[in-house]
Amino acid sequence: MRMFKNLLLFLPITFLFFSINTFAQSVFEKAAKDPLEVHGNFNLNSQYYLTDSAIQAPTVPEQFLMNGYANVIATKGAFSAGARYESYENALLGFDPRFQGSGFPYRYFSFDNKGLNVTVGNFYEQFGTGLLLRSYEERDLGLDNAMDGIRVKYDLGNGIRVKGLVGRQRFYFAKGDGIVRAIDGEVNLNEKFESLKDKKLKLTVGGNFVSKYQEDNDPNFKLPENVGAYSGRLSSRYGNFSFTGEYAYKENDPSADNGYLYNPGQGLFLSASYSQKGLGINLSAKHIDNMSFRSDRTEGLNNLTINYLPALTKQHTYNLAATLYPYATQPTGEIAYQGDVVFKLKKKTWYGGKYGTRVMLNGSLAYGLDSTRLNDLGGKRKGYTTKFLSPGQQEYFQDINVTVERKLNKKFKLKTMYMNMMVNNLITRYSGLNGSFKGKIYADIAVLDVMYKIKPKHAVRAELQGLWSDQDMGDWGTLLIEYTYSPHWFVAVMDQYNYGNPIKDNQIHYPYATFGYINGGNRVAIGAGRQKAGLFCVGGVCRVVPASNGVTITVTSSF
Amino acid sequence: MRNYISILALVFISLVSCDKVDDPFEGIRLSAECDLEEFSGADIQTTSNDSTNTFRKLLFEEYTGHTCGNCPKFTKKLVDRAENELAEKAVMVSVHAGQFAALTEKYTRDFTTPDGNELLNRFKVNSFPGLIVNRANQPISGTLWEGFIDSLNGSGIYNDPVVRFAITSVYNPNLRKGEIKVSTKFLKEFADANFVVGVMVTEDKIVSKQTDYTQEPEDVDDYQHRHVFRGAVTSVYGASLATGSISNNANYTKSFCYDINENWAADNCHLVVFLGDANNNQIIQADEISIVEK
Repeated sequence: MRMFKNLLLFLPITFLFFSINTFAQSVFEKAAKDPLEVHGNFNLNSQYYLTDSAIQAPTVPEQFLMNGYANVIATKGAFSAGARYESYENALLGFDPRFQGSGFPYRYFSFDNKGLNVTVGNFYEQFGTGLLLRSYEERDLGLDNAMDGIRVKYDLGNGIRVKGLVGRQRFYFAKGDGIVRAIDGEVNLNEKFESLKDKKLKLTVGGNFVSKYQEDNDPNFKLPENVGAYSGRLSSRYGNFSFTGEYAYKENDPSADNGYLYNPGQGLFLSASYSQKGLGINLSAKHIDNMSFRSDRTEGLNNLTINYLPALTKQHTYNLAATLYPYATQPTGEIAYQGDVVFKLKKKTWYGGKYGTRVMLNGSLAYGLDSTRLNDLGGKRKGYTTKFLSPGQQEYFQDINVTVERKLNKKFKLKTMYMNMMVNNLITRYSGLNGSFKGKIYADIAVLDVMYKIKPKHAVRAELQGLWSDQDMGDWGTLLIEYTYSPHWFVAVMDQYNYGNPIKDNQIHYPYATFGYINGGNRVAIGAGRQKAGLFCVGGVCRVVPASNGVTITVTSSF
Repeated sequence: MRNYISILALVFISLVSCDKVDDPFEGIRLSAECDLEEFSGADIQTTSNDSTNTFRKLLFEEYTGHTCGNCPKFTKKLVDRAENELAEKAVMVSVHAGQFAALTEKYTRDFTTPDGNELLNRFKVNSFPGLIVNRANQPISGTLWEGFIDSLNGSGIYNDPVVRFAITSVYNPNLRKGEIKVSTKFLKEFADANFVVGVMVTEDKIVSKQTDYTQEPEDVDDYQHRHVFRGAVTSVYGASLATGSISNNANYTKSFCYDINENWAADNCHLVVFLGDANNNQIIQADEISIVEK
C-alpha cells in the first residue's frame, strides 16, 4: 500500500514536467525580447553589547553580534530567478543561536507562460487565510519556513486557479525532516458562470488539501507518518459588505505541541466587513482546536510551522502596548473574537474640527476551549472533547482600545490612544524583570502623540505613554521626542521608566537614543542605550526579546 | 478537459496521503518484565513524555534540610525560576541530607535517603542550601544562585541538546509498582562514549515542618517541600546505556521497574531521568515525567 501511495505521489511531479515541456519553447522566444531587470535589497542589524546586570541583560561573550540579509532578484520576460544571502556572525540576542554562520538559504527560479507558473527551489505560499498552509518570512521574528521544492500555479481560465506544491521547509541553514505536499483550488463563480457575471454578489470558493510525511521512529507510540488536513473557504462581496470564512480539519497529528494526543484538529475563521466613505466595520471570530501543524512533530518555537493561525488581536504600535503584554495565538486551542470600527467625524463641525477627526474603536477577546478531559492517555490518547464554538471558562486575553486622531491646524497634529487590557499570564507565561507573574495581569494604557511642524522640512513629534497596573511590574511611563529634518535626517530620544515596580531595585530607567540618515533607498541608523525585555509579535506570532544595553547599527538599502 | 482530469487526479493523489492510527500503542511493548499484575486493569496509569529537540534540560540538585532556616528563601526563588523562565530547561531535585536534614525532637519526619547521603558525600556538600547543576560544579551556596543561573542563561547551554528523550511510564496504583522505558535519540556523534541513563524518584508538595528564618515563628508546621528526592531506581549514578562510537540519530532504549513507597503520594511523584557520562559522573541532559496522568 505504501509503495502504491509513493507512486501516486510521484505523479504530480511528472505532470508538472510535462506541462513545462509544452510551454518552454514559446517562453524562451518571448523572454529574448524583454529587458533584463535586476532588483534587490540589503538589511544589516547589528549591536555592540554592554554588560548591564541591573536589567538582567545576558552576557554576550562576542560583544558584537550581527544579522545580515541581501536579496537579489533578476527578471527577464517570463523568467525570474533570485537568491538571498544571510549572515549571522553570531545571531543577535533573542534570535535562535542555530542561526549561525552564512550562506544562501533561499534561491529559486521561476517562469510564467499562458497561465502556468512554475517555481523550482525556494518559495513562499499561502492557501486561503493560511489555516492550513502559510509559508512566509518574518525576519524580525526569526521566522522563515520557506519551502524548498517545486510549485506549480495554473490559471485555467474562467476563474479557475489551481496550485500544487511539494517540498521541505527551511530549518535554520538546513531543511526539516518532513515533506509537505499540498494542492489548492479556487473558483471565482462570477467568472466561471455567465449567468453570475454581472451580479452584484461576488463569490469565490476554494479548497485545499495539505499532507505532510515524516518517518515514525518513535519508540513510545505508533505515529501516523502521513498526516492530512483539508479546508474549504468562501469569500464574498455584496456592495459595501464582504465576508470571508474558512473551515479546516486536520487528521490525527500527535506532536510535542499537543503532548502526543491523537485527536483531530479543527479551525474556523470568520470575518465580515462593511465599508463606506468615512466608516469601516469589521467583525471576526475564530475557533482553534489542536491546530498546531508542523512538518516535524518534535519541533517547537516558530520552527517548521506549515500553517498560520490568524491573530484576532490588534497589533499595537506604541511601545508599551506592543511589547509588554501582547497576546500570542494559542495553537492548541482558543476561541477569539474581534471587532473594529473606524469612522471619520465630519470636518468643519464642532465635533470633527476644521480638518475632521478619525476615530478607531477596537475590542478583542480570547478564551480557552470548552472542553472535557478524557482519561485515556493509556488508550486512544484523544485527551479531551470540545464543544465547537463554545468558549470555555478560562479567559486568556482582553483588549478594548480607542484611538482618536485629529489635525488641529496646519502645524499641529494630535493622536491619543486609550487601552484597557487583561492578559492571563498562566497561559502566556510572560516572564519579566520580576520573574513570572502567576495570574491575570490587568493594565490601562494611555498615549498622547503630538506632532508639530516647526517650518517646512522640520518637524518634531512627542509621545507620552503611561501604563498602569497593580500586577506584575506595576506602572510604566515612556517619553519619546523625535526631530525630523526631511527628507534625510532624524534624531530621537526616549526614556522608559518602570517607576511603579513593586521591587524597588527594579524601578529602572531605560534611556535610548537614535540618530539616522535616509537617502533614496538607503537608510542608516545608529542607536544607543538600554532596551527592556519584552515580546515582539507580528500577527500573533511572538519572539522573546531579552533586555540589552549597547549600541545598535542598522543599515537598509534597496535597488 | 485534460486539465480537469489532471486536477482530479491530483486531488485524489493527495487524499490518499493520510494515515489514521486507532491504537497509539500498537506494536509498542515495555520490556523490563516488571511484575505488574492486573496490568490491564482500569486503574493502570500510562504517562509519556516526548521532549522536543529544542532545549537541553539541566538537572538542578539542591541540597537542603528541614532545620536549614536560610534554605526556604533561596529555594523559593530557585523553584520559581525553574518552573517559569526555565520551565523547558531545568529539572529540580531537592536532596535532604547532612546536618540540617537530621531528625530532632521537633523535626521527626525523615526525608533523608541512602542515595541522597551518597551524593552529599560524593560531591562534598558542606554549605546549605547548596546547588549542583548537572553534577558538574562545586556546590554553590544560596547567595550565589541567582548569578550562577544568569551565567547559565548567557552560556547558551540550554540551546545545545545532546539527546531527545522519549519516556513512557506504566504504573499500577494497586501494587504501587511501575515500569519506565527511556529512549534516547542522540542528536550528536560521539567517538569514545561511555554513557549511562539514570532514573530517580521525587515527590512534590510534601507538607511538613521546616525552619524558615523569614517567618515568625521560625518553625513552620505547614511548609510545602518541593521536588523531594525519594531515591534512585537505578544506581544514583545511572546504569550503562551506550559505549564506544555513537552516530547521530542513534537510538538506545532501557527499561526499569520501580516501586512507589506507601508513604509517598503517587499523584505528586515524578520520575527524573538523566543521561550521564560514566567517566566523570557528570549529567549531560535530564527530563522528568509524572507517574500519574495529570
